[in-house]
Order: sequence, then structure tokens, then C-alpha cells
Amino acid sequence: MKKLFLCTCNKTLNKWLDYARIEKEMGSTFDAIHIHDALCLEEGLTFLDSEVSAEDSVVIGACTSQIIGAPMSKRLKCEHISYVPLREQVAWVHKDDQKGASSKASVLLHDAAIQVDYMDPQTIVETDIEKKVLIIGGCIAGLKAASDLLKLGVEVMLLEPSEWSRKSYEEMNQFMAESSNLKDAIRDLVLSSKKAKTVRGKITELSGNAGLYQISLKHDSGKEESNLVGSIIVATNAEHSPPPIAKMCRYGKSDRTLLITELPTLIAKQAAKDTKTIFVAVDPSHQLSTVEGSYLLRTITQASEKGNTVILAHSDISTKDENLYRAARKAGVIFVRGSLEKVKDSKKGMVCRLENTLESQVREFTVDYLVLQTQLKPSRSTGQLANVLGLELDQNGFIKTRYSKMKPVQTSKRGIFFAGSAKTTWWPWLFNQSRRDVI
Amino acid sequence: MVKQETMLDLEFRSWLLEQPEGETLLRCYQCGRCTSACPVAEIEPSFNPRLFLQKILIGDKSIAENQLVWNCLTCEQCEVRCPEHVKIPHILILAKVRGLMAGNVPLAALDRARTIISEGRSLSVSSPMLKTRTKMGLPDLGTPSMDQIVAMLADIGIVGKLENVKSVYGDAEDE
Amino acid sequence: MTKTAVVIGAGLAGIQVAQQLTDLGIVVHLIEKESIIGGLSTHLGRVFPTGDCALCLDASTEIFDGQHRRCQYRGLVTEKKNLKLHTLTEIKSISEVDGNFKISIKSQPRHVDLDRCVVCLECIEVCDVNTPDEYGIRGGTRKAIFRPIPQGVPLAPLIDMEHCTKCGKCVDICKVNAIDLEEKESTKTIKADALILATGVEEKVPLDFPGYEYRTSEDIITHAELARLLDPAGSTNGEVTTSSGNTVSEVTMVLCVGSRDLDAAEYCSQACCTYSLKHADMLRDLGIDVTICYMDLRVPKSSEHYLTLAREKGVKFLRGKPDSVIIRNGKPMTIVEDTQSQKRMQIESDLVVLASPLSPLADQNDALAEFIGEYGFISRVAKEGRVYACGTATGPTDIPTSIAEANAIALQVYTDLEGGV
Repeated sequence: MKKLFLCTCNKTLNKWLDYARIEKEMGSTFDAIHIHDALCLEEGLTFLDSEVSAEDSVVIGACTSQIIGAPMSKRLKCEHISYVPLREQVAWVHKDDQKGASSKASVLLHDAAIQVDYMDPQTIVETDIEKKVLIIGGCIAGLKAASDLLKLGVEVMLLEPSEWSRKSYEEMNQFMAESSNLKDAIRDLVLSSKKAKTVRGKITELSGNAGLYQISLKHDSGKEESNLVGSIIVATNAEHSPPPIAKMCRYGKSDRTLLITELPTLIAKQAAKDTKTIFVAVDPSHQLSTVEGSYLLRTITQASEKGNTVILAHSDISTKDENLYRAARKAGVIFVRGSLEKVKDSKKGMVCRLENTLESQVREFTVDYLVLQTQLKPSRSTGQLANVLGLELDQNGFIKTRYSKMKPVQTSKRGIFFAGSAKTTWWPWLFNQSRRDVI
Repeated sequence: MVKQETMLDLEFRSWLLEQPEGETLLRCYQCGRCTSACPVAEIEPSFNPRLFLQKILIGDKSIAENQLVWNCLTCEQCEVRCPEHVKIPHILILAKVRGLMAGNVPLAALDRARTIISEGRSLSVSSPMLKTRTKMGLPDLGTPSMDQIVAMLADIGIVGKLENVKSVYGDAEDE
Repeated sequence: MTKTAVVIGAGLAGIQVAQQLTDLGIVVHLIEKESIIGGLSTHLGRVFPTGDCALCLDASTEIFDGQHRRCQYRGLVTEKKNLKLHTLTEIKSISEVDGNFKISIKSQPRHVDLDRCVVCLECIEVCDVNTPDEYGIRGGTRKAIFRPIPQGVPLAPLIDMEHCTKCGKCVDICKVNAIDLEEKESTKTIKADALILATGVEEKVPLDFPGYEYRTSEDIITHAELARLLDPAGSTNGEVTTSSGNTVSEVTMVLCVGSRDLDAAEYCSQACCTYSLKHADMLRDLGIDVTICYMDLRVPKSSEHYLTLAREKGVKFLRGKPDSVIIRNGKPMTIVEDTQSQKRMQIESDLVVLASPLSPLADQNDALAEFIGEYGFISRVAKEGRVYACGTATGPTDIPTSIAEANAIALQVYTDLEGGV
């Protein structure tokens, strides 16, 4: 039997809507029509219990489906149910027009009556879920993911870039944290992710769906294998690339020009008395990210504390930790705000010229080294990887999030997540990626 | 008009940082709140405490050679408002001290400095002034302890040098 | 045995961590001191980086398929079987006995029974009391029985006894007997295996920052207040007006009011640059001129488009921290040095918006004192294997980071409690 239940909702809905008229108009559509107050309360639910049998199709006209839907779906014995939110979609929006509102209610209820006719019985679909995760690594976040998943008892396969070693993690991730902390973290993570099956090579093919992906891997050794995984985490790293001003700054041509990533090595090798003048330049076209800014500040602080004279030409200083900026100032770094205009390689040193906008004055500095702030770009393999996995990229070539506000670690494809700087920002924590596989 | 200057001579900056409270200069992140708070800057647009700090920070000692720094009233409005607690008036005093030796000092200020060495006070007290004070019922000024004052000034290297300083502004300077 | 976790604070991070944990089979008590969930998001209207409604949630897998977005209103957080929401509730004390927490909570009466109320809202209609609306601005009012915002969850109204005259009209009209004017506060003790602090931040009311005359003028406002002005569902219907009701044609924004400041908040509040840009974009769309006084623009990569947009739309940027905002000729005037032209300026505008620091809420509750770290924030693992924190309780940040952190913490809690599968 097809039954209609109209809720009066504390005697308000029948005030705004002409229930008598609706009852009359619906008479031929439904086999039975009941009007009751507060269907969502215990007495209403009991009434539904007594009136509805498993074979019935039911339309409920009430407040909103979310108030009424949840308690009722637990109590209604039948499978074919349609909710019509009369209060939300009719009464509240057509408060001053009882006639029009009632007509709209009739139309919606009539549609719902047709809808229940066409409903299929619920079927339970069984899907196999492979409790195994592939982590495409290279970033410290990949190690963290592996370690966390292993703790959860999830099998992990860690696909690392070619010719990769623990040292690579230290070198490639040095921008993320202070080097001693980073070394400790990597040591711990390598240890705790030991049980992961590690493969050096790349992924060549993907098919299937979230929960059951078929992947083809090609090892560096040339060996090929095929595997089933439930979920994939992309933890490829970001890469430092020379900024657009690199050419003007004679990067690659002069020994005096370095990238910021090379500065720590230079300082480490420096003898105590052999102090230098170092000019660090940030490309003006580039808005520093907090990760880049923090790395820059940490590095120049170290350089300055070693006794070097460090000048930083910058625009906006970005960091999550204001105290890093304070430390750099305290260490005596000289901050000038402006963009490098001209560079000349002379016998006395590199002559760097810029307008310091904070005094509207052009200044020239003759220095021993010119150090360029790098830009973090997606690692070279990202584009190809996205192609194999079928993922969308953002305008900077990083892998795109599905919904950047609420789904920050999900890619455009279900069951594929990312961790770390595959996606421009880096969180020191790993994400609840493979919930679905765990349950 | 933008003019070109070359650096880097950090001698002045280093000297200033070594002075008591001098290193608070390093806390400056050039927000400019001092300049917008400064009552002198409101009247005289070329007086810009933030700019002074910027110049000293990059080793430019022109501020110690310019009469402008003497416009500071030491009202400390800038220091009160500074988010990073830079001792701005103190740093400007240090710049004045540096300039003073080279003669960047208004004659009136130089005279007062000399009066301190000779009399222990920045202004000499004349007998009519003392009479007026008595009439107004003000307390006795007492006698400054010259030994201590001179010893202190000698300690910071002022005595014996100040005598030879000549104000580059001469007598023409108006107050 | 089923494990129990207590989540303190039902802002976006708290809701997220609670939903994730219940999906993982853990019983969660979600404690919220306000009458509705959502925390800061209920005040914000549209939020970055997507510019959509702040009330959006990541849906749970239990009720929906976990892939669709749901707003708090439609999110059914209150319908999850393992999730017990306690609103108007504060933590009184936390003690540890035999590796378990005993958390005693105190709930203020709502006076409306959540299990009985059908949300017909007749009670609000009949209430005769009008009192200033905490969510309103420019004279917005609400009743003594009210819902803070229409989409607030739980949906049922509550009664503000400070203003209620106990006339009984609401009780009479409520035919489902949901209203009890005599309801008393209640206390309860919850046993829990883990504790998650998602206490969040609030925008500090800039009453005591010298120079900025927030106290003296209604035309010097904060960003939370501007968000209320800009909210189409707010008391001004999205119209940006001055305190005297005039339309606004010029707005000056002051960044770092008390942030990065040794006298107030030493840290950077992280989000203000971006929400200032977001608001500037929205104001430009209304044809209003905007000047932003900043020191360093710190915009996360995911929100960089706001900066591009602001530049395209002609927002004026001035690098300098204003000394003061004063009232001159009845209008706010900002005194600032443009450090890039070395000019001291006096900018007259109709409205000045102050980016006040985001300050932690956890240190307002003594019961949480032992977990508080630097500046009042909490580290993500406040106590190994037992007490965790996520969202802005760990430091000011944007929504994506809060959500990612909440996900991470949920997994961590699950691992620590269940010890793997």
C-alpha cells in the first residue's frame, strides 16, 4: 500500500498549509493518508510503527528530511520511503501565500508518490578492499605515513625514487626543519617503517578503484611486477629550483653565486676566522611560502652566527614562527627591502645593486657571495606520476586537492591521498588517509 | 630623488651595538610605528626615526653627521609604541654622541655639555635665579658633587675631548 | 571493549576529529561551551581558501558516504550513535585514575528539551523580549528564546534566562512540551581513555591596545565584526554601514594590531593577512575603496589567489604599522608612515578594521592548565599516548591545516587506543 503521512509539527504546518485541500487532492494518489502531530517524537514514531508494514511505500511530508529522516529510518519497517520537507521548502519560504504554498506542497507530494514507485529495493554490494597501501615516497611525510600505517597493522609498500638512500631524505628535506631535528626524525622514521616493503623504481600503470587498485611497478633493476593495493599515498617531494633572477645573477657562471640550499655546506666548511660578506636575494616575483621563509631565516641566522656579514634583500618575510625572524635579526642579519636590479662580477667581489625601498635609495653592496633563495617546485616526476595515476594538477604543477578547505589531503581521485610537499604545504603530521581500508 | 650610495662600512653600526642598550636596535623590523607616533615628524616631515634606524642598521652613518637628529625631543613616544621594544630615543642619543665629537652639535647643546663638566649642571645658576627660587619657596638646590660627576664623565671619555669640539653650525644656529 | 574519547571544543577541528573517531568505532563525547557547534566558523560567513560558507563540514561516513560535503545544519552530527554532544558545557576538572581520565563537566540549562523540540519556532514568534544579538551588529536584536544563527546545531532554540521574563507564552504555545523554564544546571562525570583538546582561538577584542580607539567608536571594528556586516544573513543583510547608518565608501584595514608585538601577542596570528584580503575583495565588489596597512603579507599558498585578486581589484597596499586610529570630525583617521615613500600619512575613512590577534581559548580554563604551552597554545601531543590537541588550539592556522591536523590526530588516537588492528 502507498501511504502518505503528513506531520503538523506542533500544529504549525497545517496553519501555513491547507491540509484539508491537500488531503483531498492526494486522495487518488495514495491508498491511505494520515495526519499526525510531531511524527518525529516517540508518540509519532509509535504511530508510524503501528501503521506501516514492510510491503508499504511511504511518503512523509514534514519539516526537513534531516530532522525527521534519521530517527524515522530506524523505525520504519518498509524500504521505499520519500521525505518531503514541507516546512523548509514550502511553509517557511511561502509564509504569506497559503494557497500557493498548498499547491506547491501537492506537487511535491505527488512527485514523491511517483518516486517511491520507481525505487529499487536496497541491495548490499560486496566489494573487496585490499588492506595494503602504496606510498610513493621521496618526502619525509611518506616515511611518517608508512610508520603510522604499520602501527595500525596495515601492509605498506614504499616506492622510492631511483638511487635513493636515507641520506637523500636528509638532503631533499633539509628545508623542512632544523638539520639536527630532521636527522633524528628520519632515523626514527626509517627504523619504524622497516617492515614496509621498499621498492626503488616507478609506477607504470594503474587500474581499478579505491579499495582495490591494480598497480604495475618497474624496479630500477628492470624487474616488473603487478600488485593490488587498497589505497595510494603520493608523498613525492618538492624540488628547489633556481629563481628567474638566477641568470642575471650569473648562477652557474660565477663561483660567487650559490643557491640557498648550498649555503649550509659552505658554512659548515668555513674556518672560524674566514668570515665572508654574503648577499642573499629573494626573487621579487615570488611570494615566499612559510616553509621557504622559515628555511631562509634559519639558514641566514646560522650564516650570521658564524661571523659572516649577511645582507638579505627581501619583500614580505613569511614564517610560521615569528621567533625565527627575531633570531635572524638578533644574529645581526642586515635586512633590506627591495629587489636586486643589477649584478656585476668584479675582482673585489660580486657587486649587487638594488633600491632599498625603506629609504628610497639605491645601494650597492660588494660581497664575497651572492646567494639566491630557491623556489619550491613540484618534483620532476610529478607530472608523469599524475598522468599515470590520473590525477589533476594545479596551476603550479602540484597535485590538486579535491576540495582545498575540507579535504586538504585528498587528490582528485578517490582512494589516492597525498602527504607532504607533493602539495606545496607540509604538515609535520600524517594524515588519516586510509581510514577506509582500516575499517 | 633617489641617489646612489655605496656601502659597506659597519664601523658605526658595530660601535652603536656595543653601547649599553644599543643592541635593541637589532630588534627593529621597520614597521614605522615610531615615525607615525613621533610629534616632531608630524611637524617636520624630514624627521623620520624609522628611517634613522634603517640607515644605522645598514651601516650608513649619515644620521650622525646630520643636524636633523638633534630635533629629537626624547619624548619617548616612539619607544612606548614600539612593538619590539627598541630603545629608539636612546639610540638617537648614541647617534648624537657620535656626531658630537665631529662637531655635529648645535652650539647651545655643546655649551650645556661644557657647563655640566664645569658646574655639574646643564644650566648655570645665577644669583637672581636663586633669589627667585627662594621667593617662590622652592627648596635649596644644594651643591653638585663635582668629583663624582667629572669622574663619571672622564670614565666615558668625554672630559678632555669636549673642550676641542667646534660646532659646525657656529653661533648662527637659532634655537 | 569500546574505547571512549572526550573532545573538548566543537569548532571545525573538534567536529572533524569527533566524526573521524566515531567512524573508527570509538565513543566520543564532544564538549562545547556555546549553545551551538561550529566555533569561530559560525561568525565568519564565507571563508578561505574556497570562499564558500564557513559552516561546511566534511561529512561522516556513517550517515553519508563520506564523500559529499554537508553543512553543519545538514550534517547530522547530533544523530551519530557513538557521538554524544554536550552543549553549554564546561570542563570542571580532569583527573587521572588507573590510566583513565575522569572528566567532570557542568552543563548550563538550555530550557528546551532537545529530544522533544520539533523546531517549529513558534516559541520565538511569541516571545516579547528584545535584546541585543551577540551575532548582530549595528543594533541587531534577538528574543529571550532564540537560535544564535538559523543554521546552528542543535537546531532547537535556547532560553537566555538573564533576559527571560518567565511570562510563560512559549511554554503555552509549545504543544510538544519541550520547554522547561525551571531546568537546572547539571553536572556529570565521564570516564575516558583519551582526551583531545580542540579548544581553538578567539579574536581578541582589541580594547586595550594603546593607540587604536576601538573602545570609543563603533566605526573602528574587528574582522569578526566586519564579517557580520558582510554576511547576507546578518542583521544588516550584508550592507556595510557606519555606526550612524551611512553607507561606507572607504575602509582602512590595519594588520598586526597586537600580533608580532612584545606587548600583546608575540606570535604571528597567521590567518589575518588572508582574511583581510578576503574581506578587501568582498568590499571591492561592493564598490568600497580599501587601504590595507601591513608589515609583511603572509598568505598561504592555497590562498594566494586572494592576493592576486586584491591587486587586480585595486586594493591599496601601504607598508607601515599605524601608530594610532583616532576620531577626527566624527570619522576614524589612521596615522601611519608609508615606509616605502617615507611619508607620514593621515588617512580618513568611514570604517577602520583592526586585525586583532587570534588568542588561545584553552588558557581561559584552569582545568586545562597542565597542558598549556608557549603563548597559551598546546602541543599536538600534550601528553604521550593520552592527551592530544588539534586545530587552532595548537597555534593559529587556516581551516585546511586544522582539518588535516584533526584527521591526523584521529588516526593517532585510534592507533594509541587500539594498538593497531
